[in-house]
Amino acid sequence: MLGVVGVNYKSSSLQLREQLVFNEEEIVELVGAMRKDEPDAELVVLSTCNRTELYFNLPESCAHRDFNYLIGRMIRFKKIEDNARRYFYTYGEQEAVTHLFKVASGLNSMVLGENQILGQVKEAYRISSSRKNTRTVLNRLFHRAFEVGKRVRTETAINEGASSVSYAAVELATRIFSNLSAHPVLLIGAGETGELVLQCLRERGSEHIHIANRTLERAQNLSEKYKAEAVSMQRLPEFLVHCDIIVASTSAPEQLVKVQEVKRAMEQRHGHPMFFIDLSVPRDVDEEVKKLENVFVYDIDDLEAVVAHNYEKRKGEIEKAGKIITQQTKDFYNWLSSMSLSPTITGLKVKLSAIIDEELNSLKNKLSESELEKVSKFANYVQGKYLGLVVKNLKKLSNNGRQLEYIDMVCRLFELQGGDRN
Amino acid sequence: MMIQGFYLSLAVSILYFIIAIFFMVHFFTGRRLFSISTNILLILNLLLHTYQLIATGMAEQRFPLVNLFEALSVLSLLTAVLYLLLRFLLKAKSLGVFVFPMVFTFHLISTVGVKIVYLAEELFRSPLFMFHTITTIIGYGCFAYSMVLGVMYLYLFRELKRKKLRLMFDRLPPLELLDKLNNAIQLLGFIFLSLGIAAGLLMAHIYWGTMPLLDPKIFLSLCLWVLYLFGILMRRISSWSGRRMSYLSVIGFAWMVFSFLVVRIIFITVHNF
Repeated sequence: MLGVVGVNYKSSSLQLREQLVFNEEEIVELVGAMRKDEPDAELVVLSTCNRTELYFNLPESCAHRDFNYLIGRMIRFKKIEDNARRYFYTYGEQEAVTHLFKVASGLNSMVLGENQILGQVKEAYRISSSRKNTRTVLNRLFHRAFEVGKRVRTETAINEGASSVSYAAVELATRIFSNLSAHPVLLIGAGETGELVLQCLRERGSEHIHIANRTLERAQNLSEKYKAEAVSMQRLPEFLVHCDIIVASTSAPEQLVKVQEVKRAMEQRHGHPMFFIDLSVPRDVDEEVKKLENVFVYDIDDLEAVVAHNYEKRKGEIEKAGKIITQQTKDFYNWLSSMSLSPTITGLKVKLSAIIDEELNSLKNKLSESELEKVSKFANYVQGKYLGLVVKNLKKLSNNGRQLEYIDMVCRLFELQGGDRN
Repeated sequence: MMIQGFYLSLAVSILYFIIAIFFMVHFFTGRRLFSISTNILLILNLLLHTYQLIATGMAEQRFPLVNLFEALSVLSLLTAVLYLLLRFLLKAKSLGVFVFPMVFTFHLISTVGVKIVYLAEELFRSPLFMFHTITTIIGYGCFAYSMVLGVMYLYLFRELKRKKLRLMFDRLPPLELLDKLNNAIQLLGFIFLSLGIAAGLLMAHIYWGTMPLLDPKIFLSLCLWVLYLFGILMRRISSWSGRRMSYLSVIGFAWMVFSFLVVRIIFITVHNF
């Protein structure tokens, strides 16, 4: 049985998710303990800040194990109250495959289409596969999930456009300047919001960063963290000439960047473009500044509008991504079902051979050796013909995503044991 | 032979049209399939186009750049080749949607006029003539690109200033890159045009014994040269860049089309094409 049990940001509170976070050692311990009870089980635990999920493929011998058993193992391991069960979701077979593909594609993420989740799924798989806790089915399932995650991101625009104000600000900067490392940055104010933008700018290659703050000490503390230069607020006009990207994020009640100062700076800069990111409320940058040639000013409302617009664009791609996932789920499930054909065919062959042997034995005393040989040859010939016909038609008829139903029917007709995927 | 040449040229035009459409579909829908198939189609059409020019030259035993229509054909080929270079060197994919309608138009005009062949005078066989035409055409190709880059800059600038971030914001390269490319390509175009004009004037002096500077076509070409010289100087002296240079590129291109195509219809000129 293939399936998944877990909690995510939609099904549970942050408090429960915090309690259910598994680090690598805990995953190894939990999976190790479960594999002691069920050595043939395949298990992968995915644990991020937004979800904890257990993907499994249990052999037929574990048919008595159900979703509740697996949820129970997880909550007992974390010593959480039993009533936490009701926050868990469960998906079996095709639904589990679709769910993993959605997770890997970012369709199930809090920030639609985010890229980080694919790396986290890969890491979860690495932890299990490196300890041989996965085999044919989960190996194939996870590799297919990586492919689907990549395809959805390249063939749709699900991850296009910034999804937070700080990323939106940096994305805008990259549409004005081609190489951020060549453009000095000035951060006015050493608060948390400004720091977030600074982090994003650093990630995108910004190198020359200056931090101005009323309290120089705070600017110095932040400068040490980001290898930046702390400057006093009195030197603001000087740095307006020197810096191309200005991030203003203070709680100052008055405007800190005046239009006259920027005008003067632009003259000295010979019209070289400037980009102001004003995250303050009330605003730090004079509203008239945006009217100057080659000066771009984006305030918090503008940036939030960019984020909202991007989110709408991403939402529009869900249908396209869904098509890829549906197709891939079908392909995977066909493969999974075809895996079950092989033991059924073998079982059928053994069954028919047993019937022939039994009948030949009963004829041993009635026929001569040469006659028995002829009958045996004939019986084997007929068996081969019938088996060939059954196998051919079984493959043909079951190639519609309903293999398991057909296999079940053949097993019942010929009194075979159920096919085991593993 | 002539008929065959016409059909070959028409086939090249049609393929440029299809390529332009594919670029548009890719630009507006972002479908990768169109990007890949367009590149393959473009390379094939460039080979076909080159073959068309060589076949014309070989069939008529002359340099295949002796009339306005052949000049347009070479100009479209150069513009398309330059696109491929920029596409692979700078990953400037979005240029295609702006460049190929122009390439198609140039080639279609050259196809319609393919039957008009001027007498192959001695002048048309001289190396100086080849140098004059090739350098001038390269210069014009660069100015066509400069116009495309200028339009792209103006579109993106407008979206950023108005804070209405739409398709151009998603698809176009940064403003700074567009401006730098425009600067480089304008300079390159200016150098080639200077060489072309110098060779042309020298040729006029050798073959006609005079330099007809006041001939409408030659005069307007000199004005074009002065316009770009002015732009280049302003960029260096007064730090002109971005929007101003983009406007200059658009004006320069309009002037180029006028002096290259329209002037022959309005004025009498000693310059045959």
